[in-house]
Amino acid sequence: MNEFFQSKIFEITSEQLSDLFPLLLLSFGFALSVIGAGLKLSSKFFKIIGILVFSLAITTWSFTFLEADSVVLGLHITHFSRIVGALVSLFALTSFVLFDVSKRYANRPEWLALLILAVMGLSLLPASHNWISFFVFLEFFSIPSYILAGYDTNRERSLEASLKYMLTGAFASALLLMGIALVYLCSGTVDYSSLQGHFPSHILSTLALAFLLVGIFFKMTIVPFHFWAPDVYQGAPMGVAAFLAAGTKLSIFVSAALAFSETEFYLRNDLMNFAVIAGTLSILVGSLLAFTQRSFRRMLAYSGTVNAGALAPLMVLGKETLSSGIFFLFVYGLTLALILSAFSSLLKNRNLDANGDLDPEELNLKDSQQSKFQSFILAAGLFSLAGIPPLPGFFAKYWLFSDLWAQGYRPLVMWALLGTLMGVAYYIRIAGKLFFAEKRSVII
Amino acid sequence: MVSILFWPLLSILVLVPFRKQNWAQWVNLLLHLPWVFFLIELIKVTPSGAPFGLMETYGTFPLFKSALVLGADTLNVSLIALTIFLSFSLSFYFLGHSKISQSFLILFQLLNFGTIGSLLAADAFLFYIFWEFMLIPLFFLIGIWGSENRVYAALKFFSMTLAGSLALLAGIFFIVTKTEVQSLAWSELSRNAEMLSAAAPWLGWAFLLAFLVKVPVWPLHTWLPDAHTEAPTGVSVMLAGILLKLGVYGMLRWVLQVFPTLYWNSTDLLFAASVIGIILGSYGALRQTDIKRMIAYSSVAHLGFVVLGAISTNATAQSGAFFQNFAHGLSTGLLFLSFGMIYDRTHSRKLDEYGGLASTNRFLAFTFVFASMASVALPGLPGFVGEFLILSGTFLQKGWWVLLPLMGVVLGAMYTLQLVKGLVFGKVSPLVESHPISLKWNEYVSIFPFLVGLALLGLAPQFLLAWINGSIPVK
Repeated sequence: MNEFFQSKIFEITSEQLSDLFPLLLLSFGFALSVIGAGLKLSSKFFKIIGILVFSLAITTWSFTFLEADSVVLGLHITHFSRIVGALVSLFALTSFVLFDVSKRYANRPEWLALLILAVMGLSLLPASHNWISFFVFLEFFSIPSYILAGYDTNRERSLEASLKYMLTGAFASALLLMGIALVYLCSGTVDYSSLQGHFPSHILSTLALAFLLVGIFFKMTIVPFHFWAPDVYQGAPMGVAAFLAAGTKLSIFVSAALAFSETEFYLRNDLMNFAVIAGTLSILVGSLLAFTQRSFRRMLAYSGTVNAGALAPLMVLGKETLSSGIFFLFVYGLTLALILSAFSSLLKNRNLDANGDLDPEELNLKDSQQSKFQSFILAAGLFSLAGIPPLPGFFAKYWLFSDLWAQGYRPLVMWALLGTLMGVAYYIRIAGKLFFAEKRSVII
Repeated sequence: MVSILFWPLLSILVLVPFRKQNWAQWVNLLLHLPWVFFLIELIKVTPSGAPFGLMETYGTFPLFKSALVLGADTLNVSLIALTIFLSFSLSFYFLGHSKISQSFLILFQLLNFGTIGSLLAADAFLFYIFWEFMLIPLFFLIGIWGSENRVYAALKFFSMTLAGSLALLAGIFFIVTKTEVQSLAWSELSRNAEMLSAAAPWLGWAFLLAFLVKVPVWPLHTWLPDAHTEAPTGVSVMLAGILLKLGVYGMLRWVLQVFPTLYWNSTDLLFAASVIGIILGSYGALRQTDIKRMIAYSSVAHLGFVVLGAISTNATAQSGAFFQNFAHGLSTGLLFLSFGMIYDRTHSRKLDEYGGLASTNRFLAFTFVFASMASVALPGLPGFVGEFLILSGTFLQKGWWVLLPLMGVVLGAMYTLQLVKGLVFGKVSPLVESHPISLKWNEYVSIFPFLVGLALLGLAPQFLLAWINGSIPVK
């Protein structure tokens, strides 16, 4: 026992401690919020704790961003994991500043502890260096996010979302675990660096990769594993939906890409084929279904599928092209948070539940007259998601697509451009609905 | 150049505090004065001759291989002058107009910003940003202030032009990733023209497609009648007056000067498309009962002539194309504007409900006839100069094939005279009788510059022709 504690894992230098600092900070915040919940403190306390913890986490992660990579407690802290940590904390911060959760759940303040847990899981995920820790961290953020999705206990949809998310999520996790088992079966190890060059190419290994991808695609809402997304994005509280959509995608995207590149799985053709086929399908199915939705939030879920479709091939391309994907998801996350918060206050102005939903066909001129600023933000956000310059979404898409093009995915980019054109039907048309009068009322 | 580009944006900032309609309209008018001043300063320094003779770099974005480079030559400065001219004249028309609110003016200035930006941009990426950016204000201008069918028109316009632009974007992706070109600057691209054409033969087509939709060339023209008809008067004037010209400008600037081989190889196809456009556009105009739709179809035909000249290897036809491009902005702009003034009172666009305008308002009737004659190519008016140059140049190159577009001239006379007969002459219809038209002073002021401009262009075309001469490279 004594020898175990004296082993190298527990030797921590001061530089390594600075890498752990944001995580310690989050744990501290977690402890405080649990104690606060036990003591039944007022909602203000949680608001302050949340803002403090997340903004400090963002700052420390960004300050250490340029430092050298380090290994501490088995975690591989690289600049990728740091930026994911910073961005995920940013998404958490926006989701809770913009959506006023602390007041809404004043008598059930455990949400902050859960949110911090989810953020910790998401920021640990890219630091994992073997498939087991990948799985553990994946579950680490999944479980709190299942609960958060069902936090609106008075709405049936929220409970339904939570249950569906958990059941399907557990199933996908099981398949992921199956993939990991098969990886172990094929090569006798699950460690990324020892897998390099030791992964045979036969049918079993292809099957292993397929199972791994199921778990990853599920979280990324890539077709054909996207079924849960519309229900969850529609049912979960607005802020949670915004956080999950962006944070989960970002963290999974980066960690999967890192895992595939560290293990050198990305050199395999079968992995690439899976990703390209799934990406192509996602763009097609997502666009078609987004267009037919009679619910604004389901529409956004399908549009997320379209965006994830473009990211899928990037995931199996190695580390060099990760930056464009991260930037894309960063822009996507902030845009989505703005859109949902504008939509939420638009609902409030209609005297509806701020976490509710609306048929996009029902949006009309009255909304934009009633809440001018929100409609403006909503329209700008939709145009940005559609990728019309000079809005930030365009630059994100441009960088992403040109990276894909450079890597030889020309047909996929063409396909994605067609998908962008489809976006007129569901983004631009809805932006128009807000400002165009139903009947002719203006004559010039 | 920077001041002329960013002035519309600055104007928006100034406009923001003026919530009241009258105030905003007056402020908008006053804000045009410094703009005109900047324009004069720009014209003074614009060199005649070489394409993009004046070029300034304001900053670079290495990530996108792009830079904020603005260029000026007579080709684009003449169109900038047209933009500012139209916008300035319209700002008089807007005075006291009940529907022109602050938000309309802000969107209108955004449109001006996009237009001038895409004219000045000397970098493909920058150009693309401005080119797409124009769609946003136009979408809202048509969708909010248009007439009955405006939402359909706005969406159709948006998606069709976006489809063209996405082809352009794909071309840009290819240039950035698969070729050795250092940056997307126009100078760099045109220097490497041969290498680009060799790298991918479709590249030039991707660029061309974006512009063919905008011009619009048959069969990509179907958005135009809807958009022009449903748009409010001010926007119709800008659409016909400058935005269609941007398509031709794009062809000359970004296809002819960057992909010359492809441009000259595609002339047969474009010749066919533009001749079909001329004939079908004229025939379409002949069959319309809606006056604005009629004018819109006439634009398709007239732009067919412009393309016909632009693809000619003949210097005469080329300069004729550019002249016609410019003149059409004035004549069709005036047609839309003067009809807009009538429509403001009568709220009807049906040709058969009109008649006898000449006996109720002589000035407006004169204006309408004047503008029609300018567009029908009556000698002494600019349409004649442009079409004559184009057709004579085409005759030198294509021989008797010129009879086909020549038929378009006759058809053009037919529908224009039909329009004039139905609207201006004949018995006074009940509609015209019940809505007496008396123009306000600001409406006179907004029409006046058009009349002067058209007369000057028609009687003394040599000044403009000499000025723009040399900025279009001829094979």
